[in-house]
Amino acid sequence: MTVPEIRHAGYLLMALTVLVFVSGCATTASTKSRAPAKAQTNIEVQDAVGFTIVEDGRIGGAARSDYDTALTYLRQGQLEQGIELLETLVESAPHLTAPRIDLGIAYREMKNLEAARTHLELALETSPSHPIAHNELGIVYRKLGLFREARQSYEAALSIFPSYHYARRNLAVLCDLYLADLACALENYQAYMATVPNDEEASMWIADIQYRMGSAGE
Amino acid sequence: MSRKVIILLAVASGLSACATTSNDGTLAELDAVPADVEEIYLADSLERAAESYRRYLEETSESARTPEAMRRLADLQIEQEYGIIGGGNSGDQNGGKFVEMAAPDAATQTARIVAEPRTAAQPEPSESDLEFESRATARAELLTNSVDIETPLPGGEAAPVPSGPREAIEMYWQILETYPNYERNDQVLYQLSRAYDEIGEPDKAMDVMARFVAEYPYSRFLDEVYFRRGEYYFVRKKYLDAEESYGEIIDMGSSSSYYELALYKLGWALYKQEMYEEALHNYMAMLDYRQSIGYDFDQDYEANDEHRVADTFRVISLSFSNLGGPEVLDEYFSAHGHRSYADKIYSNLAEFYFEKLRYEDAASVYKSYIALNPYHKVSPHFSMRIVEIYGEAGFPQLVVKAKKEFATDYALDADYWYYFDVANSAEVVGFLKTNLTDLAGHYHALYQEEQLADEQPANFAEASQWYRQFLQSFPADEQSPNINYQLADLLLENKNFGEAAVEYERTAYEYADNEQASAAGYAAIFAHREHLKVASDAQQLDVKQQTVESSLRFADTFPEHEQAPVVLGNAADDLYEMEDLNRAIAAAQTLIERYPEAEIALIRSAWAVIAHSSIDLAEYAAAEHAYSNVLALTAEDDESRADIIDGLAAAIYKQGEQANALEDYRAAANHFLRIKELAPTSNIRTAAEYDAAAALIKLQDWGLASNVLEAFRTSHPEHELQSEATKKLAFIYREDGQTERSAAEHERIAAEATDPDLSREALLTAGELYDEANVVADAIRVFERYVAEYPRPLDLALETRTRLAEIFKSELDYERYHAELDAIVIADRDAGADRSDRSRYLASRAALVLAELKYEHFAGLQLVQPFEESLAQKQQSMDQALAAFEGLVQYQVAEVTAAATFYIAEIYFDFSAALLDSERPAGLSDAEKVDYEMVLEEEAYPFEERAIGVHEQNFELLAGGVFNPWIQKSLDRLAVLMPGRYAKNEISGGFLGAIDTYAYRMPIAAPLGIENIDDHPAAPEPAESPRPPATSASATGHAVEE
Repeated sequence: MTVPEIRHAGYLLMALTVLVFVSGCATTASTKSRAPAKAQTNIEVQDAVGFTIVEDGRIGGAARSDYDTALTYLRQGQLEQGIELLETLVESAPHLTAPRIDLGIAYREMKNLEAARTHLELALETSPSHPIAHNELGIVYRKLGLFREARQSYEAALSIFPSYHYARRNLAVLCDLYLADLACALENYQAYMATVPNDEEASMWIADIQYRMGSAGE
Repeated sequence: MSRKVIILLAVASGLSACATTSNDGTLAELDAVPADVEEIYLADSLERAAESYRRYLEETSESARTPEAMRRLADLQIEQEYGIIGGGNSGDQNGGKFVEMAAPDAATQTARIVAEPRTAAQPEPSESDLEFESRATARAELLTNSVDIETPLPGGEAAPVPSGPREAIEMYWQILETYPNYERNDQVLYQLSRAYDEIGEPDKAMDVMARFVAEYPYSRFLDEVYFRRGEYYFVRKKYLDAEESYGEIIDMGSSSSYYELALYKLGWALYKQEMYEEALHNYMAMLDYRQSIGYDFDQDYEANDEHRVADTFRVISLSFSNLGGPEVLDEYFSAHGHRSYADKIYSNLAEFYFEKLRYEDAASVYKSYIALNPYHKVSPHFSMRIVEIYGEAGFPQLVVKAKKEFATDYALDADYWYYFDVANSAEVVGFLKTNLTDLAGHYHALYQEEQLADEQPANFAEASQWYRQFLQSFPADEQSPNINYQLADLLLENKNFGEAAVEYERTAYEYADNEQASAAGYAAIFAHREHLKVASDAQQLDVKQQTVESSLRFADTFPEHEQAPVVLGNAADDLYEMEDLNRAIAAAQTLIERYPEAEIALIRSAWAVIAHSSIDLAEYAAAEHAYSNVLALTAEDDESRADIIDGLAAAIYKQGEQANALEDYRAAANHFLRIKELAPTSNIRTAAEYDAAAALIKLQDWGLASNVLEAFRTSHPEHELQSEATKKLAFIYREDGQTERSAAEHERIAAEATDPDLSREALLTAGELYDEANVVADAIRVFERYVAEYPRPLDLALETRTRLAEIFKSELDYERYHAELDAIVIADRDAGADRSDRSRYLASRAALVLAELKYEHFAGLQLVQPFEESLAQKQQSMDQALAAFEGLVQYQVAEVTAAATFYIAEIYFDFSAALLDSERPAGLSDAEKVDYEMVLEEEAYPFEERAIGVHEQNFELLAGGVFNPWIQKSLDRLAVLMPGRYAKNEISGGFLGAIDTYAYRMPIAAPLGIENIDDHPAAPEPAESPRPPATSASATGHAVEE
């Protein structure tokens, strides 16, 4: 196994789509043909836009149907039913990342933080550079009081796509409230504001932090 | 041979003699003489021949043949009277052999003694030296056919002369006178001298021979005439004249047929003059001559030859004897050259001495020869003869000494055998065997003589040496087994047990067809066992090993020997003692199978060996079988029976242990339970029953296990394993789901245990089991008993009280619940040095609950009118609650401290809220109401500020690495009290919504020309559940705030 590789397209190459395959393989095109046993998660990053995640792998119709049904339950707040279906699904197709992440979110909603943590960690075993999984796991770690692990998770997500505003804001909150690291908080709030410039609440937090930092300096 | 042939040969011989007397015309004469082959008597033949010559002389006129006819007629007349003599019987005619002399046997007998020592032990009587001289020097017979050579000496009376010879003499004289030139007058003179001799007129004969010597010095009859003259002089002791006559012949050389005889007689002539050395020269010359013509002194010849040689040796012996002692022999040969037949000289001289009873001289002669000729083929014979001589002489010590010398000089590794082949020296080898056997036996006998105890070591060494030399030299000899046996006996008698055993074993196993083999084999074992008695500790093992090996070999080799079963049994015992267990079993098994009719004790012992060995080898099934057999052969009243039963039980028990090790618990349990049936009186029975239950427990066969244990408890109420059985029963019941029953068993354990710790643990377990079984009353009863009886260990006591508190709480028995919490706090507080982190933690938790009671009380108080009164009550309650929570900090339990901080903040906030919510006094004017409200707010605000401050203090614990639900609660409260600062929640992207594709588009992303994509999504909104994101690549990612 080699370290996953993510390439970012520069401004000069903005018109070009740079495909970055994040998988267990060191290279991109050549390794795709190797057809590993488990599904590959391919992340396509566009610096000025966002990223797209595509999971390669055979997904049967029944699985798709079950997943859709589960999502319906979850969106309707019927978490237990949705979880039950997703558990069955990941048992039969443990290589799929999306159901795992959804399970993590659902369990977190149910305050079952350990189950949430388990599924999100399993999702990252399958797709180690999945920014969404990292962000969701960071939230769980924070709720478990595992602040250091939470920070690592957010930073991992941002290392894949630095403008991922969920992780950026969550890292800023973590530094603000739980790590008492105001500089970190200010930096990340500001980075967050760069992606969500009309978030007035966040702009007030920045002002508050700058005030507190100034008070501390006095 | 038939008589007819004899006569024919005689006639032929006579004709032949005629033919060879002279080459001058005799062949022609032979042609003229018709052969008479008729079968007639010799006397008639001579008569008829004489008559034929008479008729010839009478009927024919005188001619050149007349004197020949006259001579032949005269010869026939002489022959008719005295037999064939003279010219017809000269040395030539007899092939050079001197006519017979008397034949004494003693000399040859003596010689053979040397070669056959055992047959010549006793000197045989023989003629005396005088007789010998007389006989050996008698006048040669050819000269005296019918007349004693001694009698016709001058002066004696002559016997009447027959007419025939007279006529012949006259006829000879007539020829000499009538025919002086007759060419055979030398023969006529020769015959005439003989005729005179025959008729007893030797002097006339000597006169005729003198004329012969003078007139015919070249006659072929000259040597005989000289010899006759020598004999004449010798008989008359005129030895010098005799010397001269014999010397004339010797001067003629060996071509004369009288040469050897002349040497012999010259020797005698000199001997008679006591000129022994000169005599010896002639005797040696005679023997040299004999040898030169091919005579082999070791071969047998015709009697005459043997006798003359024997006589020569004898007179040589006489000569040497007269010259001095034995040493002169060596000196003579040294001076005059060695002779290859010297051994005959030596042996004859030795035997001469022996005959004279001069034993030492006889032995000395032999020794001299041996010393000079150590590698001569006769030397061992001489050596053996020395032994015999000493034996005859009655010198036992010298016999032994001589035998030892022989055994040493002719041992098979001696130098002698470089020159001779053992295979071709049967006689010498036989001597050697005899001597070795004799020596060994001799010294063995001396060793056994009690009066020679001081010499025992030396005699032992000698006997041992000779026995061993025999065995080493003749390992395959038919005597070897017996010799070997004797050697072994000797070693055993000398208490050399180890060596004796070795030799007995060699006797038993290394010789074919040895009748004593089995006896020797048994003796070997005896020797080994004797050795064991005296062996040092260091040797014991080796000796025992040897004993066993010998015993097993004996039993295998001689299975029919009556002692074989006993030997085998002892071997099995020894092997067991030596821990050579497999072989011990094999030996015992052999005994049992091979000798089923052996004594019962023997069979029983063999089974015991198998049993004990099998136990040690962990072959327990075999051990059980063996013990069963031992038991069957053991009497009911035998003292050892109990031990055997214990052994049987142990064998079965061990099978159970083996099954246990293999996790075959069913088999293990069955084995353990078998003991109860097969060895009910064994010591191990109870333990086996207990272990059977243990195995059944492993099988989770709770029913059978509990049956066994209950029976065990009943059968063995006083057994030391009672408490263990109870524990197991408790365990069984628990595992079997009979928790309450198990709890009861634990209570029993607690009551019966003498070990306080065990009792305490059992009681606690009993409480836990009642608790587990939800038998609340018993659980409370046992727990309360526990905490009352065992306040220490403190932690366990407080844990138990904590559980008690929980039970009371669940039972809604809050009074006892709170009382128990109070007891926990007090117990911890008063524990002193026994206080621990755990006790402090449990106490802090209990104190927190008790403090929460005070908080609830405080929070429940409303500020009502009359305000001052209710305010006072609430303030009092507030102080109590604050004091209670502040008291929790001392526990230094982070979670409890955070809780206390939280509650303190909440107390302040509650008081602030209570002020704001307090009942307003009635009857206030509007203005007064406004003033009152302002006052209330002024009073309440500081408490709210203080509440925020305390929550923030709690929140600041985060910086110290502390985080727990109480801190989170404070944070939650702060988010409400100061939302601008603390209401900052994480946001989630929400459910992915697509199983294989997800697209994130950041809020500020530029439009890509795709409709329905939000460029700038709304700011995140707080929500409890995530919003559904887009489910395709067109999704932008809706924010979800946590």
